[in-house]
Amino acid sequence: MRKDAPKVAIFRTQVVRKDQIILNDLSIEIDAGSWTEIIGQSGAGKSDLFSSLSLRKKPKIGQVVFGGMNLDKMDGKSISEARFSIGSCAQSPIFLEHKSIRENLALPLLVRGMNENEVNEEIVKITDAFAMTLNLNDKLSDLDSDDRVLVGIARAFVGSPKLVLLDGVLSVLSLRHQNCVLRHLRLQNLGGTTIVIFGRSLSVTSNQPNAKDAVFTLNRNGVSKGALGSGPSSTDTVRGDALISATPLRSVSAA
Amino acid sequence: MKKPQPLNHVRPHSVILICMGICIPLIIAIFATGIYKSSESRFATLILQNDVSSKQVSEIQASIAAQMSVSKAEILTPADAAEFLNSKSKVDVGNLGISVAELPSRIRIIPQLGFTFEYVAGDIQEILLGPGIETFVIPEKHDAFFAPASVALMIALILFLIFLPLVWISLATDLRSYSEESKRRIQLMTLFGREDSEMKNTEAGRGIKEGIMFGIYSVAILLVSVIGGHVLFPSIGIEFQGSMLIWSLVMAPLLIIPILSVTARRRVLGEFL
Repeated sequence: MRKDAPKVAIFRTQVVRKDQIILNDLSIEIDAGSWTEIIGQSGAGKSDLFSSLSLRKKPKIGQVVFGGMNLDKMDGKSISEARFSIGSCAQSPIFLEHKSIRENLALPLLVRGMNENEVNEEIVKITDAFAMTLNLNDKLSDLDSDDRVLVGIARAFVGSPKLVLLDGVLSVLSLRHQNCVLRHLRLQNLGGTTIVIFGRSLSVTSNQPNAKDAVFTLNRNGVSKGALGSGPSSTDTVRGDALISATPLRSVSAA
Repeated sequence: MKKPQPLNHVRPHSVILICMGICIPLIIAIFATGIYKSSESRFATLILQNDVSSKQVSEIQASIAAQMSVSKAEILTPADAAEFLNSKSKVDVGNLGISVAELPSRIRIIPQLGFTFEYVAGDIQEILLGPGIETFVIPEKHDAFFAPASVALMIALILFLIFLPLVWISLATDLRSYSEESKRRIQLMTLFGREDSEMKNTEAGRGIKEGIMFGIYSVAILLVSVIGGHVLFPSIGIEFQGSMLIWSLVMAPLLIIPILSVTARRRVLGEFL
């Protein structure tokens, strides 16, 4: 089990949409190796949090701390190194449309300096894990939305990232793909990888919560914290400058 | 998915460079060619020993013009020639360094100042004219180096050679940096851990490299067409304006190839790193 997963947190941030503050003074802390779900309705600010926590963009207000380092104080090289350890898939994953599935899956590995053999091995591993039946030579532009998302999630896992963030992608998947993905997510999480899932509702895996599982609910009143399995209704609501810690409320073995 | 539209992303300064690098030299070249053509009107002057009918004169005139690739064939009857020559005490015959008085009595040359002359009368006489008619055909030979048209053309070529690589560098950089696919690649590679500045430098570096290659390519085509025009084509009667024509015809489509090759290569080949 890996012990190097980073702790990631966002402090005192703000989500603004069309000059209107959606979320104010928001703080979330995600423990290393945890399974965290951040849920909220459409427009609740999930994607903004996803972008900040996956180091895609800095929040205008507030701070992001990744592995004990403040994003504001990290130079370009440090941010790049931090990104090596992150796998993420947004709602509409970006691909090189004219490249094949294989080439798109290989891209993060090539960026990390892997040679051709290592890349091929990793791709085989990941496609097996997700039970992908797609022809890897197909171009991304030829895939339907379900398959695109599956490839996007698979790409998030290539190279064994320490932190994986998925934004609203599970609900797009077919049930079969969803099961495969969730199974892989749980296996990786049990291996020590931090998993953060953004969605409108809890994933089905919440029926089998683990000790480190946590759920944050975004709503107009702020952020609620809770534990998987108990649902967000039983959560406390925290506002202001309070730090929301992903403390598990219930521990159940997932083995 | 919207396909990349690289040409929509050409920056204004590239357009200015295109104008400076291609259009201005091209305009100068066209003017130079025009000047050259007007100054180069090759013509033949024939002095006929015997009087001939006006119909014969017209026929001879047409034949000479066609056979010699001259723009004008002037026919002087002996009476006309005598009148013409009497009006001049001495006629400069250019590089031959001789005067009219030194020529054989029945031979007359009507020279054009500033040009070198070539005596080809015998050939024409055999081809076109019957016995008893003596001719001198005096085609001009252009002194390419000092002629104003050639100087203008040289300036055009130098401008072209200087600006063309710059045009390509600029265009190729635009195509790389601003195409959708390129932007997406930068975005993804940055996301996967490649430094943003490093990526942009790489892209710009590629643009410059391609630009230089396209520049060399274009210059090579230019040289081949011009040298080809100068060296190869005179033997079949095509000289300077012929090479310019070939230049225009050959260069225009060939210059598009690099643009096509950039977009084609981007789509066909892997360009991950």
